[in-house]
Parts: sequence; C-alpha cells; structure tokens
Amino acid sequence: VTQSGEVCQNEPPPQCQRGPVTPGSPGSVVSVSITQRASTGQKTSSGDTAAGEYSTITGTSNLGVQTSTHAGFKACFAGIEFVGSVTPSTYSGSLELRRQLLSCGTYVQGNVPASCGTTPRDDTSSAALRDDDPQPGGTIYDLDPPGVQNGDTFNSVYRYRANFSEYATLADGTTTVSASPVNYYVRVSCKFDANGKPSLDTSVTGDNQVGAGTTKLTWNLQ
Amino acid sequence: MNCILISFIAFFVLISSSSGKAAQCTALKEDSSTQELLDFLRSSKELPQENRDGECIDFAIRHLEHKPSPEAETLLIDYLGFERPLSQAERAGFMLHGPITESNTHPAMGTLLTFGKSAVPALLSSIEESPSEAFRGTATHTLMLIFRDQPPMGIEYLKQRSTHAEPINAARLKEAARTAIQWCGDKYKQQCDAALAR
Repeated sequence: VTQSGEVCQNEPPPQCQRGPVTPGSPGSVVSVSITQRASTGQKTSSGDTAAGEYSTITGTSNLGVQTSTHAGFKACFAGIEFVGSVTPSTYSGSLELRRQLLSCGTYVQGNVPASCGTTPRDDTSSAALRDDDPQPGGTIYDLDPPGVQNGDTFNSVYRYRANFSEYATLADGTTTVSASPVNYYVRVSCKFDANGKPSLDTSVTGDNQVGAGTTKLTWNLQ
Repeated sequence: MNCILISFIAFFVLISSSSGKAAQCTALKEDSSTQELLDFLRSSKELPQENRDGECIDFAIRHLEHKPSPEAETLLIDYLGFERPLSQAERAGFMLHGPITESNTHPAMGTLLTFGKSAVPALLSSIEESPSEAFRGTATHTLMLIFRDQPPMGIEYLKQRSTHAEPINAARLKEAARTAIQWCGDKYKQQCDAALAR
C-alpha cells in the first residue's frame, strides 16, 4: 500500500512503489476517487446495478432529502449515491465502497435523546445496495437512504444527526484504495401523522441537509 | 397529566435501554480466516435458536463477501432466513445501518450476491425443495439480485428449471418466476413479462 492509499495490482509493494507506473501493467496500482451525489433533482446513475433495489425499497430513483409513502417505506430520508472512479479504468477485480458511522445523535419527541449505539462503527451497505464490479467503465457505486422509517405520531418529531466517512477498499474489505475518504453529515427531522404519513419538520434552522464535513449532534444543531 | 406521564415513561425506557453499549461480536475478529468464519456458522447451526449469537452470525456472513466456495454457498443458503438483530435505534425507526428491508436485514442475501452466478444452481435447488413460502421468497429475491443487470434471465432460469422438476417442485419454481416480476423494475418489466409468458 502506498502512502496515497493505492494498492499494487499485480506486484508486491516494493515493485509498486518504484515509478514510473503504467496502468494495467505489472507494477501498476489501483486507486479509487469518490464523489457524492445527494442533491435534489439528481437521480441514481444509469450504470449503477444497485439502483433497481434502491428504487424497489424507496419507490423512487431520486436522490436528496425527501419523503416517501412507498409501501413498507413511509420515511423521511436522504438518498445518497457514492460514485467511485477506478484508476486504471480497466481494473476488473471487485472493489467496495465502505462506510464508517463516526458519530450520531438521535432524538424522539423533538428533543428526547434516543440511543444511536456505540461509535465509531462499520456502517457498510448491504451488497444489495452496492455495485462492487468496476466493469464496464471503471466505476463502482454505493447507495444509502439514512433517515427515519415507519415512525408514529407519539414519538414525532424524530431527529437524526450523523457523521459518516466513505472510503474504498479491495474486495477483502480492509485494504484501503481511496486516497482520501469522503467525510459528510446527514441531518433529517421527521414527523408522522396518524396515518403514518411522513413530512419533514423544518422548525430547526439548517435541518434536512446532507453536507460535507461534520454536523453538531444536538437536537437543535446549536 | 397523562401525556406527561406517558412522555416520562417513554423517556425512561429510551434512556435506560440506551445506557448499555450496542451488542458486538467478540467471538470473531476482523482477521478471522474464511475457515474460522465457516466453522463458526456451521457450529452455530447446531445450537438451539435462543443460544445463537446473532451479532456474530451477522459478522461471519458479512465477512464472507467475495469469498465464494461450495461450502460457503451451502451454509449461506441455510442462513438465508436469518435476520440480523436490530439495534435499539433501528427498532425506534432510525435508519442507522440502512433501511429496514429484507435485503438489508438478511445478510446472507448480500453475501450470496457477491458470489455471483456460481450461487445460482444452489439457489434454484433451494427454491425447488423448500416447503417454506417465506424462504422461497427470500431465495427468489436473492436470485433476482444476482441477475439485477439482466432480470429476465433470472426468470428464464426459474422457468427452465421447472421443466425438468417433479410436479410439486415445478409448481414452486413457476410460482417463484411469477413472484420475481416485482424485482424487474419498470426498466425491465416488459422483458420480464415476456420471459414469464414464454
């Protein structure tokens, strides 16, 4: 593993670290550059083979903070897709986009703390929401819809605050091949009516966002 | 007054249940070998349901991703019905480890998906032979995940297998093919309908 997080494709590290390097040849390296897609108006990528499962679950291919009344998935959530661009683009081994939950704060009834468990911890998506095969095109994907699902009126407003880190590895799940992780946060506040229909709660300024960096974990983001 | 009392009780239940750390697997490690993971799953199968360590079973299944072998396929099909334990937050409705849906709570589905088409014969056999409708549904969903970039092919496999099966098994495979349509999505629905009708 080189310092930049690249991994030898066909040769042990000493050969790998000697330059110059020709992609696809012995001594070449594989690396993944990650970008995040989570804006309103964006949809899951056409080359993402996990997009069908995302759509089956959420009832939409839309990304970004939204609500859903899809069967079994009455939810407020942030649809997020990570795209990993693989170098060299001809690399054909499996690669994974993985995720760590760095910290979190969850609340019910507006401001009553609810456990979100020990952090940091692994939060890697099920393979059903990942596309680990870089071919064709040298791209891998990961989808995640963090938020609140199937809540009730009594515990509303539900507030979800979390900081994550997304990175790429070889198929062994441990050898990192992304030069730098994508650190991001998710804030969602959701209330459910008597029929279980969700709506975003907008009473806290800056709520219902996905952003780069970290968020405060308090209910009111102060 | 009642509202205040109910709120207080809800608060107490949430806080008291959240004081303990989230359950974690201690029997297995990140560097446990494939054989250790398989041995763990095999020995867990022998235990009564109440003595099984759900966290470690989930850990072992997830750590077998991309490590296909006939033994792993057989074991994972035995564990297709296994549901990972939900955390306190997940039970409350927070999606802190993906959505609470079949493919996310049944870890063997995802791991078999990473095995690709090598897992198809064993999945078809399990759909054919299982008397459990719920199990067959999970196995069919897994099959369709493997064929997610060409769903009509999954339906073709189910139908083709049914032509060589005993009547009761053939009926299960045909039922699975009809069920599988739901995982074709809008993009492939017409092609899947055509494959089912052929």
